[in-house]
Amino acid sequence: MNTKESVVRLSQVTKRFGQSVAVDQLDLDIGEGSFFSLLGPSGCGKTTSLRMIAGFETPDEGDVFIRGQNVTRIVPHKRDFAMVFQNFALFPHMSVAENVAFGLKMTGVGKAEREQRALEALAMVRLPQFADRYPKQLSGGQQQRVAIARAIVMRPAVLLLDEPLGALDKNLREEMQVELRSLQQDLGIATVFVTHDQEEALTLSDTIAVMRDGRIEQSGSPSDVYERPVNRFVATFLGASNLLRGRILGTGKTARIDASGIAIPLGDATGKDGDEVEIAIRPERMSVQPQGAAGVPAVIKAIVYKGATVSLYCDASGEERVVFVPGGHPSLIGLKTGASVVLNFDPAHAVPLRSE
Amino acid sequence: MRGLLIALTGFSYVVVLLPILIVVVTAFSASEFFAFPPKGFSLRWFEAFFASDSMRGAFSRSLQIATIASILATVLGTMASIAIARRKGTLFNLVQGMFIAPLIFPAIVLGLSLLIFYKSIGGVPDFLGLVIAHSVLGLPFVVRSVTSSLLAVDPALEEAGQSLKASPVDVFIFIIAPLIWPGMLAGGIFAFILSLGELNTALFLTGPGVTTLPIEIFSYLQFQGGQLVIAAASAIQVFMIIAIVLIAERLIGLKRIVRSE
Amino acid sequence: MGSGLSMNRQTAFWALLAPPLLFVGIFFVVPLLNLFWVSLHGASSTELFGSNLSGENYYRILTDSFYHTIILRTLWAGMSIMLLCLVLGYATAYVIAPLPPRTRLIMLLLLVAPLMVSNVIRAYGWIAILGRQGVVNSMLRSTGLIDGPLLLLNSFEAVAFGLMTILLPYMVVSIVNALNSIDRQYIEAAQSLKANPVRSFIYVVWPLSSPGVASGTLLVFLLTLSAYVTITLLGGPRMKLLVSLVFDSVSGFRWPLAAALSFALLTLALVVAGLILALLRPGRVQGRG
Repeated sequence: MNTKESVVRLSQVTKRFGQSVAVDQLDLDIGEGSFFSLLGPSGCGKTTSLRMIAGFETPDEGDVFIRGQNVTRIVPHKRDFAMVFQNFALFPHMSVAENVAFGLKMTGVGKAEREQRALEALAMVRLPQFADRYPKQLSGGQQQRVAIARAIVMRPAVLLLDEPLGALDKNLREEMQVELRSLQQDLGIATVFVTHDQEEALTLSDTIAVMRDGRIEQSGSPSDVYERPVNRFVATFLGASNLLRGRILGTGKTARIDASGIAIPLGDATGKDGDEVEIAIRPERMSVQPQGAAGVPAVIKAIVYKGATVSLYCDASGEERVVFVPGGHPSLIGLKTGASVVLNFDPAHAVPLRSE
Repeated sequence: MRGLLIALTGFSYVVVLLPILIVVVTAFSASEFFAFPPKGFSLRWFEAFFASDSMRGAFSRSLQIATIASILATVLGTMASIAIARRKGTLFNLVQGMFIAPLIFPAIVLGLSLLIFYKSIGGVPDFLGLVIAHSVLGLPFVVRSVTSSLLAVDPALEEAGQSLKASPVDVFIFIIAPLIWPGMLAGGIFAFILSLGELNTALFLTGPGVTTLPIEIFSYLQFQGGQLVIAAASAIQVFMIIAIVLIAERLIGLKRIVRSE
Repeated sequence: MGSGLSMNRQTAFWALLAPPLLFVGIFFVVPLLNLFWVSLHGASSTELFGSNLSGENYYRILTDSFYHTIILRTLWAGMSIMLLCLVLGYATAYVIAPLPPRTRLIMLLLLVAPLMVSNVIRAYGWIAILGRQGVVNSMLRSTGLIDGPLLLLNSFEAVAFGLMTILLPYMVVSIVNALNSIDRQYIEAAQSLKANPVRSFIYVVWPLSSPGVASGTLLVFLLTLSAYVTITLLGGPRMKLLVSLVFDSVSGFRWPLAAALSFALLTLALVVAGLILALLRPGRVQGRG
């Protein structure tokens, strides 16, 4: 294991709460400067994993390493990390500057230096003029920035973010995503980010790990995970997918889709002749064609206008299929609910899924 | 209907406040015996109060007992609250119930049980015995008010402190204590006031030469009749309580004072 | 293992809990168990209690009609005070509760502050008002309505009235809290369903305020049981309730009897508390069935 480069490493970590297993033999390796997201539905174990890195939870089995040191049995305040909490957890009785300088005070940094560094950190999140205010006097977005400043001022080995954008409204969230990402890149701090918001994970991460039931289902770059989901869970949790049934042909290099007869390359997936296989296609990779063209015949059930895109909900012999078409696209002209169309896609965009 | 309700309300305020007002006003009377309205104004009964060794002694003893008992109750109650405030389960409910129980427990039973207990273990000095009894009685006020302060503290603040390298002791000093001190103060003030006026355990636990002011007033009323020096003694206690309430209002706000009873 | 291990948490928990737990255990629970133990013995002229286990004290309380009279009188006093407090307290709370927060707080403070004044002073106030030379008698005499002083003290009524005024604030505070925690939408919902004010009170406000009524009546009754000083000062030497008997036994050094009477008093407290809870069922609006 390349412990030299990894900032945080979890090795075979298991955590149980009573009967239920929250985290199940988890392995993680987070490299220097990387932005790593743990993405999954609530209860998938992502927050527990983060809290084990921080030391707020102790694993039942396995080890946690920060910069190569085994910290499994070390209390939180002696570990090298900083954290931004879900509701920011700013100390209400301290001014913004005192909040940011608190960690430095605890580590024995002198008064002058910690005031200096607190101001620098506040400048980095563009809030230097708020140093003397109290958290209650700030907006949600400003509180968020103070929380980030309070964490980065510590120059930690790893920055832990526990759904830090969840408490903000949608517009602010997008703004903060961009800011958070550029700040993290400027500082080059390895970051672990926990979220259930797929869009956030896609926007921010170098690596996304999709979790379910205490295990990682798939991890990789955002485009990898989005474009090549390995199984049905990932394909449907991260974005929407149309799931088609198919059958493997001959040597196992291609599969034929039951409904349309289109052959698609299997890639890494393997199987023998005649095996059933599930195939995912993203709604934006499907196209609608007029009746008579090649593809799967379908009837439009609903047309939902979403501004940038239009979602078409279609019925293809009893199966629901979704197609996202860019708003104003020529293929939309004349389409009405109840119209018969043909759905088609480029076989290169079809992803065969591993059975679960 | 509305008129009747307001009349009843007015009656409530009169019967609650009038007796105290009358006592305070009478304390400034210049006459030898009780008369209302008082004839003349003087401080002679206050002078008499401080000239009487037994009254003055009881007064200062009451203050000492109340001070020590309320500090003890505040320290113990805060410790207990921090340990169990956020814990759930039958066992913790039971433990919490044990700390709160003296609040509604018939205090004379507590007084008698302590008296017999002290005798069983070979005797306890009266002063100490009273301090212990009043601490037990003050504890529920502290536990209740500190617990509610603690529950208002976001638990993530403690973790935020740890994430910023604060040890458990630092977390208490810099984060928890500044946020719950109004609760501690409110609880402590109530324990103090309660001790100052307490009768039911003091009746059993005071001994010859070691009485508290309320017991001193009680025995005067029982055996020496209506000397106005007790009006002065009462007025002094009322003034002290008014002063404490005013200070507390400054420090912890009106809401906490009203809610703590 | 050195410092900085996470098992510290457990140690810290016990270090915090042990001192208060021991304190309450030693000075509240143990004395109470000891009291029960004492109550199970006969009297002794030299020791605290006799050497033989016996139920004679309880037998006496259960069979002697003297005790029955006192217990019934205690119950009657408790009930009357409770009811008086309930009527006055509910009316007062009903007027105070809807006031603006600041005014409400001040109105409540005027009732809560007297609770901090020792009961002996508050009882003394009533002696000053109702006594032979008291305010009422001197006013009546000066207007010539009466010749000799009216005897307003040393009676059951004086005790009930005096205690009622002393305990009333507890009732008001409990009910104000309950009334203020009622969501106004319930009352509006009742009105939208064509309930007139009386009906919306009977079917909505009263049941929803039952937790406050329960805790208020409970507190008033329990405090009545202990109020020896008030009872003695306003009731005089012949007005005895259960608590007076406990004191009389102590003055006579009959420790086991005093102990047994204490437990009779505790039993009374528990029974009435149970009755109040069964009658008002405050749990139903607190989400515990």
